Amino acid sequence: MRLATRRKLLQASVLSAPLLWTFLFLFLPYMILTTYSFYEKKFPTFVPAFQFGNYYQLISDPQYYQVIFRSGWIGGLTAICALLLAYPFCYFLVFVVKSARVRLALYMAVIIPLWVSYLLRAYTWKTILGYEGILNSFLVWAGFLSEPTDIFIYNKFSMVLTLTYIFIPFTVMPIYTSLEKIPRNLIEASKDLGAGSFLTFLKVTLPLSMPGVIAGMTFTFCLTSGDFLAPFLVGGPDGFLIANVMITQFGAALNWPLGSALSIIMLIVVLTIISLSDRFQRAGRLDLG
Amino acid sequence: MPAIIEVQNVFKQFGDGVIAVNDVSLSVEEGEFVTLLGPSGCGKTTMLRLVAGFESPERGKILLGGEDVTESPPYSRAVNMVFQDYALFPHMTVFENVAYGLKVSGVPKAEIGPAVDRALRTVEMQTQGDRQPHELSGGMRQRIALARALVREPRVLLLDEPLAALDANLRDQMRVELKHLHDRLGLTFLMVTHDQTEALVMADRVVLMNNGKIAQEGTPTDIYEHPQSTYVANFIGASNLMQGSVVDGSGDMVTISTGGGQLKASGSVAMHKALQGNVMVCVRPEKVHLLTNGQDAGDMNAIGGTVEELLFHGSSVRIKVNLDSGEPFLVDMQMKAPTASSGLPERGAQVRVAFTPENTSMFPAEASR
Repeated sequence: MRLATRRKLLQASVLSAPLLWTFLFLFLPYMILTTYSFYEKKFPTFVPAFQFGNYYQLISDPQYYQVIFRSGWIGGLTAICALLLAYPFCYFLVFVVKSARVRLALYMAVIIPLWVSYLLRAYTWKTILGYEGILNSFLVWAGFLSEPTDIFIYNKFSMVLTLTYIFIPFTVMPIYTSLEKIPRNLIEASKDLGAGSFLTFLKVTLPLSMPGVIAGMTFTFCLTSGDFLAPFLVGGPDGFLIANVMITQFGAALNWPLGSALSIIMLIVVLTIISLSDRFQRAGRLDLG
Repeated sequence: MPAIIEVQNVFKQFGDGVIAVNDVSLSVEEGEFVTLLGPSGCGKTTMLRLVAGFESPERGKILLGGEDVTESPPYSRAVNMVFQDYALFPHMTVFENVAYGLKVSGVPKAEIGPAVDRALRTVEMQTQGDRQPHELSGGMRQRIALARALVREPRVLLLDEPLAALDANLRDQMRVELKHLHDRLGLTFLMVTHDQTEALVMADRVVLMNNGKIAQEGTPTDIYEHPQSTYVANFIGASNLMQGSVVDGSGDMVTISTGGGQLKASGSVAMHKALQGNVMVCVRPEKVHLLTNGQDAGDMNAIGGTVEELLFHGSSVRIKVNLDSGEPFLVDMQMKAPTASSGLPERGAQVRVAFTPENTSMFPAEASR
């Protein structure tokens, strides 16, 4: 057999498994979802059709478009909170901490919770914020409250807090990397040219870390707005996000076409955000050599 | 002429215990081109960073134009630095890079444009303002880095291995250009380099450092022709070193007894008085004549030996001679004859190496570590 032929065969055999996997478990389900999203619901089941009724329902019924907006709002709020916490932390790690060992330890302290089950981490906040939780017990014990309150949980505050905690590693990682990649002599050059620490941050450090900021916010936004466990555990009755509605449509409501349409809309939103963020990152990704 | 940079007994130790600069004093005059030369780890870069303000010394003072700046941050010192890998801001155009130093210090916008243009013209980059640094070649980036430092009209320009990242041809060209730039601007240059040729070609004064201390400082010719220690003699150029002791010193001539016989060296009486006892004799290979049998040495010092090896270097040939005393001795012969082989001794030939007393320098043997 010729070398070129052999090489092609080898390539095909190596690539076929992942390609097949991708096709069967990603591409095919997307196709099925898309098809279903045009079906018509006829209680108690649904019939094949090609119509836009499901999509129309999603954009005209406040019950649905509000949940889409809420998901975006919670996702955006969480991404901003995570950024405001992660950026100073990463800056501290990269520019202030002198010892490499301490830096690694602090970095790992943020990353390690990713090893712990997501459910457990979300549940932890229930035990902290809940009616009989740690916070309430403390406030009652300290005499600030006469009896426990549930103002800490089942609202937007508890949702954003929990989601920020859960997804902050995804903000920290890209920001840390982008700050670490900035050559130190650029910062020295800025100071040498007359800029103080604040101006140097504003004009050199911040612009050069923007790719990390964009990547981190995109991760957190997409993961948060697609989340369904946190609303379930700490979100309360009006805290449902888009994923919770999808589950209802595919489950109790038995309205697969509407659920599919919702999934497709979510998919389009997320893909749009990712491609936009990718474009921004590309524009910001510079040759640091 | 007043000193523009005054480094007084500066001591700098890093967190890991390494003493980078050990009680060094240095003074640079206005308009001088001084190079700090030495192998890596000798403290030369730390010296430059101390002057720039990136490091602060544990002890000692740094004065710029008579003013104590030891504790001043880099952004308030009237010096600017050209970094080793240029450190151009990758997210700014060439113009913005050069304008940066003016913008952050509040120069009015109307003045920035003309000043940047002038700086870019100084380095012949006036047409490149709109380009991004990554689109430029190494030599062009080097010029932009220069323009960015010069636009602030510093009192001293600091250069940290400015040519190290360039390829050999460009480096030769930039050496000359930098020197011309210095002569044209009349600015004080303080440059760090590990390249002895660079230091000798460019500088008015060479400061050779070793282990955080100044080993010797002087004009390039002075340092080359009168090394004061084995370290200096070996670091700058090739040299033949022989141990000996002064046996007789009178007038402007001194006689030294070495393993190869008695040698004569010239110099002042005072110097010879200071050199009582053991000395090192240093002879540069290109100052040596090779005498084949029977040729008269005249007033020159002459030592017999055997030709061991010939190494062709293009414009010259390096001849390794094994002296009768067993010591090796290098001789460089310029290739003036039309063919490469004419006039050269055969390997194994009996020869004498000869050099004038003027070309025989010496320093106390104690200085050789």
